[in-house]
Amino acid sequence: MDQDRIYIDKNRQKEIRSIKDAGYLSFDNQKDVFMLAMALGIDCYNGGTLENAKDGFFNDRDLSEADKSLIYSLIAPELDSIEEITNRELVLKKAEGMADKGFTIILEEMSETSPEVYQLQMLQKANQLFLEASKNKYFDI
Amino acid sequence: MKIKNIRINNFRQYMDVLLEFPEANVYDLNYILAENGIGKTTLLNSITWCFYGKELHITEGLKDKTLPLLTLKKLREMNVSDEADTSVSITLEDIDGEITFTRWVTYRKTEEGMAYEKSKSQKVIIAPKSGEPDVLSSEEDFKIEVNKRLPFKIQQFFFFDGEQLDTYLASTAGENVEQTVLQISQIDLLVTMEKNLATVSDEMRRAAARANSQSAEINKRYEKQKDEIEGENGLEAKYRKDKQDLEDAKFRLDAIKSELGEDPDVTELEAKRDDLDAKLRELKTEQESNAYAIKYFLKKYLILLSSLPRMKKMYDLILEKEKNKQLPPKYDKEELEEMVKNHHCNVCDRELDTNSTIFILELIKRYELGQETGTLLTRMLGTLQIQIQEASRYEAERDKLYGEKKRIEQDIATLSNEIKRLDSIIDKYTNKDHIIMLYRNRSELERYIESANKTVIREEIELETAKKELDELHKELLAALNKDENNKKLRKEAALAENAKNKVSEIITQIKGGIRKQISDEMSAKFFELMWKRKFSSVEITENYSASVINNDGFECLGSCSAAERELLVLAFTLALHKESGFDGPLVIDTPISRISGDLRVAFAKVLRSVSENKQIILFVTDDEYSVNVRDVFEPYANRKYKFELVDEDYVKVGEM
Repeated sequence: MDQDRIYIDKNRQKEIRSIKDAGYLSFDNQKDVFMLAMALGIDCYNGGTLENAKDGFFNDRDLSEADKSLIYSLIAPELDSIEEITNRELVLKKAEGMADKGFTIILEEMSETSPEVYQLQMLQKANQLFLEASKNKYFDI
Repeated sequence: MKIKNIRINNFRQYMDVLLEFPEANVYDLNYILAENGIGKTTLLNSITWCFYGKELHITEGLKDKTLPLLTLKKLREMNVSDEADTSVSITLEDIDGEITFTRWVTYRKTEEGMAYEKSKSQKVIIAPKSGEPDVLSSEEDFKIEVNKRLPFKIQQFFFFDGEQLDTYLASTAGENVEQTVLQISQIDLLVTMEKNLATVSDEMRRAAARANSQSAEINKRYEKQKDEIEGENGLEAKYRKDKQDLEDAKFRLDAIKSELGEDPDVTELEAKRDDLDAKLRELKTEQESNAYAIKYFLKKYLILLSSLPRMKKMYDLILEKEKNKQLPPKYDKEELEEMVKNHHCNVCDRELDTNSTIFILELIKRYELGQETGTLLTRMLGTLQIQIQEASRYEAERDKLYGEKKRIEQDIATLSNEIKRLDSIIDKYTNKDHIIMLYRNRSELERYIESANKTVIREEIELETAKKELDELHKELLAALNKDENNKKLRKEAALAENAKNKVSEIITQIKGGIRKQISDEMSAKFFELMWKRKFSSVEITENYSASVINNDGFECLGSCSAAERELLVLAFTLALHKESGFDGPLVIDTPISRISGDLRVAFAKVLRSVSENKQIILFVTDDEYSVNVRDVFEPYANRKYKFELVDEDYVKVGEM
């Protein structure tokens, strides 16, 4: 990966940066927010990348092996072939696009409710995801 | 006998007041309603001033009684050298007729604007139902006529303040009662005789002893011993005082315990509440940590569980490729590059042609990409496995965190309820400082009683020993005197005087005892006649002149009686005293129920109403005392009602209600 920064939409950078300390969930750093945004943006991601001006969100050195594995796993289905997984620039651009969708979802949901209710909603969502994962035997490894 | 009217002119805040108490139909219940600070006690003082020339009650806000009696408003209105009278006139009425006592002081205004007491005087007008009135003007005649009806020595049983009514029998362990009984026994002459005979006996014994050196020496020791026992600061006085202080302390302790009831110490409650507050703060900190952990947990598992399908898919893909050996094999890239460099195939062991060289170069390039992908996928396998396992622990971690959350919330709720409960108990005390003071006093009294008990026991033993020594000395002295034939006559006279003194003492004790018994019986009858509930089995004035109240369980309980019960006891004692002394005067009571709380106020108000069927009662009550319930007891039956108002904080205006 030649790219050493992970970017977000510059037009929304203020709102996106405010997520970390909004008190709805606990984040250690902006990378945490980015990873959540990616995870929540999967379902509505359409393969795009950031189109507007970009703003550096965090340094890719902050990504752990686990973070990278997760990013590769999420982006792999969006690539033409598995071989493209080694194209870090392509993977990160798509990751930024996927996270951008997630940011939209997070910001919308947070604006609609209080932290307490949001946490309850997230708990229900996690419960549902866990049930589905159990049903689909995702834990069988 | 009753008070028919009271007229007051220029007596402190009373400029011109006439209070009339006409003949009552059934209840001779009269009351004057006035807010605190208006001058009810001053009114009481105007009455005692008229009869006895003294203001006998402490007046709030008027500590300096050296101020002239003259109303200040009146003084301001006067010109220099003008004169004005302060006067109080009270008319008493009984079956024989009326008697009016008037006392006055004439003041002159000085150039400095002060009131100068120019003269003072008094007069009594005795107006029998038949015959001409008689006017007496001398101070002596005035005193005699007052003492015939309302003797000064027991004036406190006609003119009460509520405080006295509550504490009279309680605080003095019999001393007051004994004095009162002595005063109404009309045995002053006998008491004087007893003292004189004791003096004569002592003098004669001393004179007899002087005639003989041995007797004189023994008498010296005898007198010294006697002085040590009976002297002003002798063992007996000390013992009596300490014992009385101890009894007082025990009584005060009982009263405090009774007032405190079952309520715990507010200080302890507040300490407990503070402790719970600290625990609550700890729990809230724990709750904050838990809330943070939950938010962290949610973020972590939202990432893991949302990504899980794709992670699992990737994991399975890698496994499958590995299983199918689709991942590029490991090879020696340097060997391939060396083969191209040397144009020699190490596998075929022949020279490479151009096509073979191009093939190997493409292979190197393709294998380079495949190797990077393979390495990446292989590296991912381990971390994906860890993350999938991590995701599977969601349920356990959720239950732990949310279980913790629930426990903390329950603990907080329990603690908050306990704090609320304590607060409600603490808030019940409208006067926390008072309760704290009571607990402090209780501790101090308990410590004092423990120590005073030991002191009194020691003093009692010392006194007994000293008395035995005195007896021995007395015997020794008599023996020495008997040996001396020269003073036979003196000895006989001394013995006679001593016997006479002992006889008089006996008579005094008998008379006092008899009157005590009569008062005690009458008090008991009145007490049970007026008492609103049956929780006591007997009340009496004991042989040592202390009041005693025994409850149905057979225990002494004066100390734990309520203020209302104590006031009733004093009232019963007073009624008995009036009857037995023959001085059947009115009862004037300032703030009679202010120290009584709750429903007992009504009960005691009913008692006062009931007493007024046979005796004139004049009450000075505050707005606080005159609650709706008390008003319902008094108002429909009252003979006369007055309301006092203070005008311009200067003088009292009287209106009928």
